[in-house]
Amino acid sequence: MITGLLFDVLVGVPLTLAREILGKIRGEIDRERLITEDSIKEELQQLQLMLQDGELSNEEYEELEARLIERLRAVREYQKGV
Amino acid sequence: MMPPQSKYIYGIIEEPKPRKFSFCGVVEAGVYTINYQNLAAVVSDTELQEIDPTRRNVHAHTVVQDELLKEYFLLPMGFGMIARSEDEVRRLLEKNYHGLVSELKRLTGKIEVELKVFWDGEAIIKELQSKSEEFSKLKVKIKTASSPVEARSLMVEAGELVEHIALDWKAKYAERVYEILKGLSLEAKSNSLVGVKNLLNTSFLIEKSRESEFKGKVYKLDAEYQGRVNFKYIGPLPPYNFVNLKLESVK
Repeated sequence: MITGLLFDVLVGVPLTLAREILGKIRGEIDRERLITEDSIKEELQQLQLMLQDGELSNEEYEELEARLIERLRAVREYQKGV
Repeated sequence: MMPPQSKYIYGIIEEPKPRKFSFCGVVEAGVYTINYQNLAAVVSDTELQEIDPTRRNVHAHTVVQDELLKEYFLLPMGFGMIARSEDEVRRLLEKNYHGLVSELKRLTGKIEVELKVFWDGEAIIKELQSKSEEFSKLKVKIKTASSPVEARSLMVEAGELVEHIALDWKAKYAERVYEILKGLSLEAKSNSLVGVKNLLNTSFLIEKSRESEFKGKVYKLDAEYQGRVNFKYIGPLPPYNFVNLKLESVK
């Protein structure tokens, strides 16, 4: 993940660490990589930090939170069935 | 017959009389107590079996706890604790009565504060450029790399250099901060890290009367390390991380 930050410095392409982290979270949601409640809650915490730091807009936060909560419900539903 | 209504629990206080509070809880529900002898669980009604940990809901949970702290000492519950009925809450108090009373006594007059330390992105790059020859060499190599695959693998190498500095800073700054503040606190606890930039994530239990002294020290350390690492300080909080009680299950 740190390679994204370095890209900025080395090659001068505007890609910041925050965008890289966001991309990673989006990727994990899309590929349904988040399979435990803890991993989802961790991502929520990370997003809240980024929101506080202004690295994320309110709209972006809301959109990702909604998707993570949806994922959390699916995980809980699955666990009940096991 | 209606099923018994679930109760969302915010925490436990010492209060022998039933009370209804003026502030609202999670999902805008009214907040009141369910009492057993000298103890009371502070709750609100909910139809749900589980509450989503959205920013809005977590905020509502902390607002209730903050309001309670104005009047009481609170043994806080973490977000999302739900009992299936009023009866279940009462049995929880009954079965754990002595443990709860002694924890309330032990923790009264104490607060929790939280400190996170993060590395600063720009500072790390500056450090890399000024100190590491290896980094300058890598930079040239990456610009002249013959293929994207080669460039990518060189970047991973550069990433390792960043991690190296981050680890160095963790030992030099973050762990030092932890040791110093631990000395000023009654108990200290290291929590798991949040995100890539996080070097330290800690909770401290301190005497409420020593809060400003503690905060002063945090500010001083923050000023000392400014430009390299960033501090995030939250408090006062109810002592979430220091309640030493495993609740007896009533289910």
